[in-house]
Amino acid sequence: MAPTKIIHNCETGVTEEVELTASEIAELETAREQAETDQANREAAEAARATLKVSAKAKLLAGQPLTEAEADLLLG
Amino acid sequence: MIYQTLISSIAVGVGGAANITFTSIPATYTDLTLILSARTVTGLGQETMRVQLNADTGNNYSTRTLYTDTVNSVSSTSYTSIPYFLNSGWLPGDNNTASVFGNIEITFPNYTSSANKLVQFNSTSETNLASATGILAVAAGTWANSAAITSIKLYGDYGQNFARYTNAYLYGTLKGTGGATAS
Repeated sequence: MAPTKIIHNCETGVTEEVELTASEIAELETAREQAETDQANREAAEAARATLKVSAKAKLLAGQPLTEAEADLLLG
Repeated sequence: MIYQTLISSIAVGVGGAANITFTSIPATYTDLTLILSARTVTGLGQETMRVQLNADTGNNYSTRTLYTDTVNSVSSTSYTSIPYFLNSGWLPGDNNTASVFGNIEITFPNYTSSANKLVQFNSTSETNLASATGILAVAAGTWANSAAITSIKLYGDYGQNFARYTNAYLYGTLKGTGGATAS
């Protein structure tokens, strides 16, 4: 069954469940692909931030100089 | 006392729905309130819900959101969403607690005004999983259009369906006393 949308006419009280058009389905697919890309980018950014935080903490404890990115992270 | 009248409601049935739309909204009220109990079928965490008015797909929207969640230490962060829709807040998806629905309340004050429209959002995306955040958000939006609001379309930004048992209720509010409009 094709994906559907629900349209309710407040004037008549009629509710219709309508199959999406080909272009609407294509838009959904694009949105889903974009969402997966965005999710992957967010996870990569979070992982990089966590790695940077561990590195910054280790350098602080060892009295070593921080990189600019590490300093920025600590100063928030 | 505030008098609200239920104008219409939409219930999502078996198979879900990609989007839901109220059309031919009467211009007989002062304000509109849309209350949504909803969930999406996304597997990517929580999905933000978008709002489009009068089928306007142009660069005419602005939303500023303030939110907090249950896992991260961020107490509040605000951001501005892209301007082709209003961004109403988050809804739980498939990897959140089963059968738990999120809630969004949207108020459209003076929706028949010939000025640009203001919109207010309150939302809670609920989850009981320690690995996932429940997001509480408030947002302010504007729609740069002088026309009365006659249709409201709701859809997720991940392109996923609203889950079965999602319900949307549209109410009209009259200013004044006793439910009668007063100037």
